[in-house]
Amino acid sequence: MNREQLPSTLLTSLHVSYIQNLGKSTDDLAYHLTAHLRLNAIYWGLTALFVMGHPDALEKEDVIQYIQSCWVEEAGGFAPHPGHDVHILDTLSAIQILVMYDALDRIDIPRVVKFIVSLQQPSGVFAGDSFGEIDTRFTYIAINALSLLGCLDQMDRDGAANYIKQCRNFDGGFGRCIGAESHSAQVFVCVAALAILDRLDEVDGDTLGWWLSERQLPNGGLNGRPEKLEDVCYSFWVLSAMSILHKIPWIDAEKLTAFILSCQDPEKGGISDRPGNMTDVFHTNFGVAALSILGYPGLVDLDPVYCMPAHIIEAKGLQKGWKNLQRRVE
Amino acid sequence: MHNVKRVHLSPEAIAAKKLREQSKIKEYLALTDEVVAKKKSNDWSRDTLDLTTRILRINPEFFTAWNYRRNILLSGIFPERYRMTHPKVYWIWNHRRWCLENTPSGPEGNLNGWRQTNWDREMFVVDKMLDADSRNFMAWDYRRYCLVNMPVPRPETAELAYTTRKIEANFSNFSAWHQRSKVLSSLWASGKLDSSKSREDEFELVRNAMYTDPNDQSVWIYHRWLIGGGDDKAILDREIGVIQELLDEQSDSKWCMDSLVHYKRLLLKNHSSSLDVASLQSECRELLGKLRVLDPARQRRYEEIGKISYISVVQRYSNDNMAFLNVQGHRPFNISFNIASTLAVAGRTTTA
Amino acid sequence: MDSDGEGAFQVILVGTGLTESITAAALAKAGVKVAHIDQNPYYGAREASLSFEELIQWQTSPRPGFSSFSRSGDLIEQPRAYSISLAPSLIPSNGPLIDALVASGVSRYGGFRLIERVCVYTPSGTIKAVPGSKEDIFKNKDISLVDKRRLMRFLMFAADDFEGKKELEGSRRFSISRVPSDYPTLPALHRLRRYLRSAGRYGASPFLIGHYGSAGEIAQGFCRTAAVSGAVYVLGRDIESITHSESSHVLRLADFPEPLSCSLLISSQSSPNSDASDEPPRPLDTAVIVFPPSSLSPGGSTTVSATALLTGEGTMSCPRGKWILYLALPLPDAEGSPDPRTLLAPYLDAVLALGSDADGPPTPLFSTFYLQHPSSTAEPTPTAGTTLEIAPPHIAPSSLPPVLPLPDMGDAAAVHAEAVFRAALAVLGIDDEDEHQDDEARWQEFLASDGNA
Repeated sequence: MNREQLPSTLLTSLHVSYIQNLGKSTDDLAYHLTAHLRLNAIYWGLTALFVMGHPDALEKEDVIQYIQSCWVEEAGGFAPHPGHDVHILDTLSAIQILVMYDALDRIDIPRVVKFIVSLQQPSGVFAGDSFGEIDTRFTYIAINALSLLGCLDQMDRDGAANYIKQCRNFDGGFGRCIGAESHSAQVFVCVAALAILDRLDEVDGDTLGWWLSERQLPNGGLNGRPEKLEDVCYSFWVLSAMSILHKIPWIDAEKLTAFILSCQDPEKGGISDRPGNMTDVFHTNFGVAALSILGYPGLVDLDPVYCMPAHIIEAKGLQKGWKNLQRRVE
Repeated sequence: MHNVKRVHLSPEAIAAKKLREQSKIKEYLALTDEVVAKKKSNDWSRDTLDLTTRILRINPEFFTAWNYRRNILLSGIFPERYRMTHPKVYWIWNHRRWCLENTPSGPEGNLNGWRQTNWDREMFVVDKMLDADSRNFMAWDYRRYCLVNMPVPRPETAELAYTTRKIEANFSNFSAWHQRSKVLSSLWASGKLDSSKSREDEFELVRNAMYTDPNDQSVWIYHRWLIGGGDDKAILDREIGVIQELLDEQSDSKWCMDSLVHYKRLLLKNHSSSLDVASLQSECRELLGKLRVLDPARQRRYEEIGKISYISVVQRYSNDNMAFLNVQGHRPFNISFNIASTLAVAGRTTTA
Repeated sequence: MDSDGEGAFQVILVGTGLTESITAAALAKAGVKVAHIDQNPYYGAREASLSFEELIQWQTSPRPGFSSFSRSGDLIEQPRAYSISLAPSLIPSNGPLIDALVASGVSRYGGFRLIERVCVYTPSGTIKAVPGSKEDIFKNKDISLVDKRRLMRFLMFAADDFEGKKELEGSRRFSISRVPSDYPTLPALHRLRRYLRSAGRYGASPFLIGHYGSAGEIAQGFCRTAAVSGAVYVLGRDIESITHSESSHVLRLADFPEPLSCSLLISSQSSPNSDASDEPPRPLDTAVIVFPPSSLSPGGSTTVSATALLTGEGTMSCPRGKWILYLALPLPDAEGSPDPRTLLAPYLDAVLALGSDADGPPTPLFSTFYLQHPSSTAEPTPTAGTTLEIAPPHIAPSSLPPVLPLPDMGDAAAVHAEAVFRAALAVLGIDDEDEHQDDEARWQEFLASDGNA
């Protein structure tokens, strides 16, 4: 692909219509094959829209009703799609969307809290559902969700922090579970979880900052682990943790910005993992989120701990001491 | 989507694709509806198990069907086996794990028989997965899980040999170095391996890798683990010498310089009483200056480290500022200016 | 044979050597009406793979371009289980031949295996593996740390696009151990680059070898592809005469009812030629051993490198527990008529000694030696032979490079075939407008035609 043909500015209106059209592609097989991600996808799309300054681009009432249709009464949580099973991932997505729409009153908060708290294991880590898969991702999800619901005190916070601490590796990073290799996405969830718990003393900021800064490749993109390829989604995972550690200046923001912009589809909108690849709403959101952290002009501030609009988190009194780059003026 | 090339289709081609997909969508949605309906009616039959097999072949990400499958299996239908055609789907690894944990006991006299057979097969599958993609972290996690939980454990030395093979096949495989660090930590802690001798072997191994390809960061990260907190001054001195020699041969090596700075700072931190602090400081400063030019993307990090080095000197000599200035004698004014600005930065960093 | 019953073709190719066979497949797929004939009863011509009996037969009838045959006997157990190559060669894992094989789908007709080891013989009578990758160098215990760095740096340079780099200035000073000292630097670097870029594609080794004698079997695979696209094959008939009318060549074949005619004849002037010798043993299945100048004394050459290619059961070219060993040594000066047995016997003994066990070195079951003389037609590009207006066109494919170095022949055949194919289309007037682009498209079409089927 010719470098000159790659986009160098954010194609906001294309991305807005790309996200708006996602829910309308019911004649596309891929749409149905991704039903298990539906609530996540709405959260990703909506967050990107908020950050791009188009919070009203989706039909709010339709979205809320869809979330309600994903409620699983027996379990007290949310499934990704009606008829599917409950999972902590989708439960967080539902909460995040409702927070952005200021509509938490539409769900049974005490039951949701009970469901989430029930997933904490004796070791302190959280499971994703009743079948018991554990992962530091789920711990972050639980902490994020409970803090948004104002019920953080109902879980064992020390236990959770202690488990995360045991996942820390000598390179400063964190893995999925005890013994696992450091991975940028797990670094994000562990550092953000510790930030919410006010336990950042468990992070070796200089070592982790070093490891994170070495994720940047000569083309500007970031990878998830040493000697791997770059990918737009890692832009967010890495930047989020760096913002929390006040280390974003340790990488070349300009080159990263150019890399993310080069991954846009200039015809149909959306952002992909690498230039020239198929776009999806996941990479679109994390690309836009990363650009916001990098101070890209015209975007709304993003809270890197929650991956939600900063003003909403601030209004709830949950803002932590992260440090994004100053927003540039066009 | 990960690793899927964007294709530009004409409107006609898109229409044709949609038409082709019509029947598939119908079929898939009918299958989904059937699974959801049977699940609702608590149908735990063999036929339904086969039904979940069909839908998961089409869409292994449909985790609800995995859950359903587990409930059917719990109701008493035999163990199962799968081909791993989707090595990056979380749910499949998760399901394999569940199956292992829920394997019934074997016949009397060989209670672990069935389990051991299953676990051995799992290790075989994991080996195959890691042959296909040696960085698949789900496979590595699963491997660690199997090693810990096998009814008849494998010796850890066998796992050490496995990581040697993986590293010899491709030493950019940081996953294998990581695993090696975990296995060695455990062997050293249990006393099954003499840690000082074995550590020397590791230095030898990693030295060969760093001379072969000094740009490979997995090697340097592992070396940093071997050095650890830098308590052993003799090892630090020797490794600094080895890296300096490599830098002399490969004068543009960023990782040589970055590691030298790190290890020299460890010397300053842990062993400063027996060192020429000033010259080490100035060596670090010089290296950091070169790194700023060589690796501009991370220049701010090198600047901050440089400032932190000053601070540690300031703290050491805080009772005798003149001594410090004498040590740095050649450009005292400039230096003190730096100290002032650095302290300001440090103040901001620590209070933030 | 000819469904039209007229024996009239657009193109007749004579000889089923590798170049001709690839050309035939490309032309047939491009819709050209092709007849492909060979006087031998087997495919492959100068690059054929012969059974033991065919080899004896081949040596018994006179072979232009070859001389000084000698052999240890006419009998061997399981003679049909051997496929002995007249053109022992390797296929680099990256290059024109492998591209043609994969993309045309011909690779599916045959099996391949990687060469397990590439080694250099040392004066101490042992062999050392040639490090061809980062991992080889990392693992190697004989190279010092600093040399590892220097070697890697050199290999990185050689694997890259080094043309025009300043390091090449004064490049005479370069000395590369595997080639004679007077070997020009640039071709050596190109060879090295191909070696480095080939490693890792199908495995650690950069070279493949085809089953059943490699080149001959591959030629046959391309012929099969040509036949599927309608090319007509006639094997085992002598050409009684070739006459030229105003616009066509007419070929009469022995014991063949009708003459064949064509507007374009593609044939090399010389008849089958080649170079080969063979022998058994050793624990490895396949390997290449290079004997640098002066590495073998007494008896070895002090000026040129000899090469040994070992193929075992894994190449499907001999029975279990047996091996074929090809030895080749270039003759720098054509002084007199040297005895090939005298020249090669020390190398044979040295290789056999490497396979020694308690009973001493293994003994050859059969051995044969001969000289291959350089081809007189060494022009690099094919020539469309429209010398006079009345003569119909004729193309003679360039002769292939000699058997050494082993990886060169197959790729050269693929390159020559493409050139012949283009020249043939031009002669036939198949593409009127943008000639070059059209040829390119047709060749690509041939390459891609059923590669993904």
